[in-house]
Amino acid sequence: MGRRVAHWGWNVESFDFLRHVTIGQYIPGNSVLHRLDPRAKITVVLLLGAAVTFNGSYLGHLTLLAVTLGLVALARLPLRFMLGGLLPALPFIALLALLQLFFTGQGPTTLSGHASVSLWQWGWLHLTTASVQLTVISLARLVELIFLVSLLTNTTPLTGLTHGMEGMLRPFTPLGLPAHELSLIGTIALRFVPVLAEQLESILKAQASRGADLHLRGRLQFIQATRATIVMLVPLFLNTLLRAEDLALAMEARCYLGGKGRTHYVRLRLRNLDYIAIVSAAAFTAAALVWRNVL
Amino acid sequence: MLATIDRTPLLRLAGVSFTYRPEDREPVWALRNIDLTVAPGEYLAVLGHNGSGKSTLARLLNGLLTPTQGDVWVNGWNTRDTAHLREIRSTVGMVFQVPDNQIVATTVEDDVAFGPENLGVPEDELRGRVEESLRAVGLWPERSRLPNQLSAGQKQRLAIAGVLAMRPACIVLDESTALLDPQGRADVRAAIRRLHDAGTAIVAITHRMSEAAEAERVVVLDRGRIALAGTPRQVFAQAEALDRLGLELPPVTALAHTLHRQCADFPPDLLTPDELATAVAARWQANSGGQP
Amino acid sequence: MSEPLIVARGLEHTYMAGSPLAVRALNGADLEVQRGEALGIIGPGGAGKSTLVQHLNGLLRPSRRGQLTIDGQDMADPRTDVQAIRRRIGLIFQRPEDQLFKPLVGDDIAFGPRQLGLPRPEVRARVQRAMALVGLDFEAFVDRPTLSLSGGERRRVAIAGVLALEPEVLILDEATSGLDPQGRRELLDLLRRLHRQEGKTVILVASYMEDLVDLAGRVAVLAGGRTVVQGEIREVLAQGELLQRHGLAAPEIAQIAEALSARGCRLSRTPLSVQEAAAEIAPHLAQHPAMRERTVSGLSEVGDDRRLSNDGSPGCALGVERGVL
Repeated sequence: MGRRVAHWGWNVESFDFLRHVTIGQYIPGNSVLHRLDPRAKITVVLLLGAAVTFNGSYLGHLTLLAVTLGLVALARLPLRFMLGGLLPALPFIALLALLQLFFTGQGPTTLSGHASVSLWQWGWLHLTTASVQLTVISLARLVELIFLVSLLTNTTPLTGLTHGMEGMLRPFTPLGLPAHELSLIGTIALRFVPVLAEQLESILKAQASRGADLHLRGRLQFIQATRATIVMLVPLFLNTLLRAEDLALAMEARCYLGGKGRTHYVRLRLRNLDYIAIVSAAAFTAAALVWRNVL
Repeated sequence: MLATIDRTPLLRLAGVSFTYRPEDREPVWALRNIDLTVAPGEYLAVLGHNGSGKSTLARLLNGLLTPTQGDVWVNGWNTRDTAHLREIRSTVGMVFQVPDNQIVATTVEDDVAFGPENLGVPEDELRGRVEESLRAVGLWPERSRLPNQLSAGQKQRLAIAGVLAMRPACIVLDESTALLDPQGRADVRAAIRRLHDAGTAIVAITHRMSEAAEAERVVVLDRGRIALAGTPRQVFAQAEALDRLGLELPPVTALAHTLHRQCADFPPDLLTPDELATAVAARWQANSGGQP
Repeated sequence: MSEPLIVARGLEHTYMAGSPLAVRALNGADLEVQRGEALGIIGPGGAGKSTLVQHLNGLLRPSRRGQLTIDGQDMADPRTDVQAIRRRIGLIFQRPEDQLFKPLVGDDIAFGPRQLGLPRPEVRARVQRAMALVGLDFEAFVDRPTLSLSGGERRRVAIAGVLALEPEVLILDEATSGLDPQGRRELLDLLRRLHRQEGKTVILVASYMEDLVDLAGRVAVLAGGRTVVQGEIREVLAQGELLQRHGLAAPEIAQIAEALSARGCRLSRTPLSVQEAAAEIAPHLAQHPAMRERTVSGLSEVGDDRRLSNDGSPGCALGVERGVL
């Protein structure tokens, strides 16, 4: 039996673009990135994510983009596939870019602390070097973050992610952090995503079959949208609650009594490659943060 | 195989009554005065229509529920004794009706490991248990797969493996085949038969009489009480009572009953197509003299 | 013979097409549905049955290579009014009670008619008719919270919700899933009523033959995304080996017939129910010796026929007159 994720086909065109979402999609392989310990990968993504977020310079992001693309190459993932992951966000990106380009030019300095120069103005619309920089950097950040998170999930199976998360949180247990419980929540959530997606698909199809008009048209769009949401969410919610009840019972029946005293089937071990990856990422991030305002 | 030797029962329900709302002035009793034992290695079927109390009974067997009145003993421990819940629930494992709602982890082998992990089984033993349980249900080749890539029958077998990994003496199946297609149902029933042959006690809760036919002993619940009890043959012989209890005789037995009504020496207590065909064929021969 | 209501040829469907997770659910499925008939669609899990019926009410559109005509309308044509099709063809999914979303029974059943824009009195009338059809007393149930009902009752509410649209065709996907024997019996009685008394065309998707017997006149067998055979139910059920090859089992009654046949006792036709099987078998049962005498003398007149029909196995008589018992 194949794996089916939500595919709302009553209007084949309507949700087609969701097919291109790359985040969460595991692509089996044997590249360097696939072989890294999940904790190393999570750490690297967090570090690079910090670099991406806090660096505000053109040169910095040029480097970061190059690094990200280099990682994509290391993972042996097709660039086309990765770019496809940007498609669902495209409308949002375009809108944001437009807004940033013309409505954020008021400040005296650019992101990297240099003086802002006005380039063009017309009423409320104000194009300055500051707004241009903000727009370009924001775009770069979005692309880099989407790629980085994608890479993590593309090269790590779910089970690796959940064990990795637990492994990273476990040292904090003596400090009172419920590491096991948190990671179990994560595991169960990830495990049920396809189940609930299929459930939602069934509900949508059932409602469409009895005349619910889920194509939003005309002036009453927002009212229709709310109604459409209730038609969808109430049954999904109920169904999810029932599942949760069942699952809790099943876990109890398998002697689940919290994290204390549990042993672990999977034991992750860091190897040289992992240390190299973490240290490199740390060094790079430090540099990106120190020189965040260059250019 | 009836329990004629005096064996210490694995499970014992003594005077058990249960209501979900004991605080009501006139509580609705889901179970009333149930006395029941399950011997080690025994295969018991609990039949009943929806609402007869059979699911409630199931949950009393491993301490998920405790009786409002009476006691439930598992291997000498009382299910009210919270100190021994781990022992009780690892002795009596349970598989539920909806396959998806029992699977916790993101891969097949991780999920099977869940139970023994909870029991604190040492890590060098965990691998062996996971493998042995998956092989017992025929899912070892699928060990790295994601649960949503499995068919319903495979998911249910995964649930059984997850319970098996705790090495229970008894497995309770609460309507576990109700939502399966024919192939899935056949696979699950085969797995259960193998487990029983290997010595695990089985308590199968079902409304399907054809499944109860495989058990050594059958108990029929009606509105919280035991209405009928005996071997499948004994219980299935009572066609009118079963009909009143909202159950449907399996086609073979129903046919045997009908033929018996028309031809008095035709046995009414047949359980399988082969038995019935043999009985018919024996009488088919024009020259054979009277058959038992 | 009038034009079939629904004609499907070579339907194909792939989920997640173009991605590494693509799944071919349909690979050349055919179907023909006559107006007013009760048709069964059976197949093992994953055969594509649900995917197939989702084409029949426009949830899925035929791909380039497939053809689907519903009452003369080409479903591949983007101009086809799919909403109109859905008013005439009601599709009820597996576990329909999962789709209930209104707090009160009456409101949920009224959802469909209200979506159609019908005036209030008509909506109310439809709700009443639908509830009567499924056997839910209007006064007793219309204002009850859906969550307070039993599983079987909620299923009936969900079915009423689709019946309130007053479709000519009703498609039910695994209608009896999760029901106990009584619930199942009641549901199958309801479907029989809808077909025989209300004259609706009924299409039943099932995994178990037992759900189709005494209801479906014709049956289509789907396996691996293709239609393997479509025909009269008795003919299809008689092909035990074909069914087995595709992971299906003939109903237990038919298995009895096969077990008998293996012992040299052939029945004149494949029985589909206990009553039919009893009627077929009873006349062949050896009687009390006194009765047997009568039977044998009754046979001597048809002696030649008996020898001809005897396939060599010892003592299997045919053509014994009925009513001896």
